[in-house]
Amino acid sequence: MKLLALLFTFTLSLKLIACEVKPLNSCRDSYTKHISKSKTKRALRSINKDKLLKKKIDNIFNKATIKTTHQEIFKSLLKIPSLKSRYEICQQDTEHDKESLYCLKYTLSKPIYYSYAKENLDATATIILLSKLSDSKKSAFTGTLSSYARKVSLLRKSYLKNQTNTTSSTSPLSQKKFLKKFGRLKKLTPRQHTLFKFNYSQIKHMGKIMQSFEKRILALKSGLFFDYDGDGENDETYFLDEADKYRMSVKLLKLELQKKSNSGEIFSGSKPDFHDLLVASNELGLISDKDLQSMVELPFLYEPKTSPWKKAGEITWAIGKGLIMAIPGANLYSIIPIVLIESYATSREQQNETSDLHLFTF
Amino acid sequence: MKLLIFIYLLSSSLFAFESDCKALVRNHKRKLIVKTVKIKDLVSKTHFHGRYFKVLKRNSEDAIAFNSPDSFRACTVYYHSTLAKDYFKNNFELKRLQRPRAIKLRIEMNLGFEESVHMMHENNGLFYNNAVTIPPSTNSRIIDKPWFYEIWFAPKKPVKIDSSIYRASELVTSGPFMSSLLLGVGQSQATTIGIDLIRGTEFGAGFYTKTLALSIGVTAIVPSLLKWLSKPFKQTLYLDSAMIPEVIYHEYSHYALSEFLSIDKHAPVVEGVANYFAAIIGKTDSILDSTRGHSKGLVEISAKDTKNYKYSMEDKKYAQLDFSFKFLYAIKKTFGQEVGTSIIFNAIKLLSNRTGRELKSDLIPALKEAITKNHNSITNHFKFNSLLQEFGF
Repeated sequence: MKLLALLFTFTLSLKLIACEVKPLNSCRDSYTKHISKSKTKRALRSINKDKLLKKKIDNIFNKATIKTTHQEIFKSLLKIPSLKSRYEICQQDTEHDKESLYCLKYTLSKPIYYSYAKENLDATATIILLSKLSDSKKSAFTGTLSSYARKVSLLRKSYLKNQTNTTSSTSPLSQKKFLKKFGRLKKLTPRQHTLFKFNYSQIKHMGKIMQSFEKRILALKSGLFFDYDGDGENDETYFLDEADKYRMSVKLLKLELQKKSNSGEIFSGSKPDFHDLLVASNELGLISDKDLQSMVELPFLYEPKTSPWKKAGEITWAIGKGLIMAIPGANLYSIIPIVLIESYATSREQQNETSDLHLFTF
Repeated sequence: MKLLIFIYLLSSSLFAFESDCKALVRNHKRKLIVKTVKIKDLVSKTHFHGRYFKVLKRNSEDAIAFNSPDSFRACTVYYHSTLAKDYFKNNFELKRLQRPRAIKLRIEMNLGFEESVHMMHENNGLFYNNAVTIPPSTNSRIIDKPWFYEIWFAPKKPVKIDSSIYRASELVTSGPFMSSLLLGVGQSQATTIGIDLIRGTEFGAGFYTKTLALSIGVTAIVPSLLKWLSKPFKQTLYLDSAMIPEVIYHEYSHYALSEFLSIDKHAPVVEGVANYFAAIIGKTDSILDSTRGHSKGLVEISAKDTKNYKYSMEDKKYAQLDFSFKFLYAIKKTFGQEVGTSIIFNAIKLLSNRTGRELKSDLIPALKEAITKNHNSITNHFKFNSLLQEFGF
């Protein structure tokens, strides 16, 4: 059993070490809900049997550069005789019109899954290619393959410039627990979300915003000044305590993001959230993977959230209380427990209500 | 002079003895058990008198003998004080511990402390269920003999206080709570009348008036009756401070850190820091847990949950409450024991330059400065800020 575990760890570490950065594989993606594991396994098994096909597919993806478009990849794949004949047979057999993506998907999805398994494509590049084969509505949100590859290449250059640790590791924001939605694309990791939603200049700008946010957090003193007579000299300075300084920095960050997205400046309508800022800073190498890993786990990093269970509990309590109070007879007996529970809840809320002491709130 | 110090140090290290005695210690389940322990650094072969500690009974100046009836209590105090001393000596550079000078540990000490006379006369009242660290004599001393730091462990004495039922019923019968109850009765009665009217099954105004009067009467009388009935039942409160390891660690922490945190300032920060180190030495996250037979009726100080900051928590009256301990312990949980304790210790050092001892305006800036000076990273600052928000600062 121990030997098996050791073997598994060894294989896993080999796999991690083996990830080689390529134009279409950033080695930063670890999780995706969009790529079927069984389809990937089937594609790998089936294409591995055909050595010639395998060689030709590998060749196409190995030759890909950051300028390669998805059309060029599809065109090259369709030049492989076995795939070409499969595509032609599909077109003759099916009732779909020739413009339809059905036959293209039927023919090319397997080589794409195979290339993902062979680590010639990372999860994000795979999602982009698969979206180009299926749904044009989804495809609109993924952007082009070349734009993704260019973005990744520029970000990697910046990462290597800012971080001493040059080994490529999975982004801490490529994990299952932070999944989010972008347009028609659901269950994206924050990294995928940011890379689909923003271009390189926007990501770089987010990095700058995050840097000034960091400087404010690290500042040893901060405060508000008052110039009573407008002579340019501060007549009164109110120093902020650490907690208020943090809340003010978060508030300033929010205002800055809101302003930049509303004013049609750099973000023009697509306001980044805190995860986007973290992804941008991490991809640019401004925050190390280790630092980001501990930061994303922190509660109250951005603002406190009410859990869905708490919300559900509040609604159930309100309905239940209303129902009991409407039953004659039972309502009289329920008063004492209801008042006791509500008094307890109110006292807890009052205990937690400290915003009157805060100059800034989230 | 240097030669004399050298000879003293050499002789004291050469003539330090060890001995076995029975003490109260915690087992792996944190239960208090009697165990034979080894006590060290003794300068006497027959008495609890060592290089670092001298255990005395009440106002006596003679160390307690190994064969005395108080030896169990004396051994417990000596043993745990040594553990606390070793922790501070091994982990921090403290002037106080570099030059060993025995501090007096007084057990069964029921006299009060007064800075001009050291021990107060019995006529000024006797003290129980407490432990206190005594600062050394100052210029205000009016007696001949000066004194150094001492720790006084008062004897246990059961004290009767109002029962929890009585206190709860007192709360229920208080103004705001009772008015909520009566309002609730009125609302339910109104709902019943409304539903009866809709159904067409109303009983007439007289019936409803009687029911309402009865309901209000019962609601108002029951809690008052409960309060009255529970009045004779009292709850017992006591603390055998010399027999609880964390209390001994707490008091020793006051002494060890007194070069930074003066012990005469009985502030929540000072008590929180002493509780923090008591918990670290005792490898626990709560003080006064599992102390059956040695403490009763006192609230356990636990780090298990968080509390929100309120300005009233700065009040000396609440110094022994758990907020500052919870907050400091959360630093340990967030940063890990090594980094967390280093941050807290460095912050305490920085606090010695400040006159104030407030949580918000003194401790937090000191903690921030300690992080910046010794553990400066954006993650640590985010971790610290996240904690501040969690505790409602």
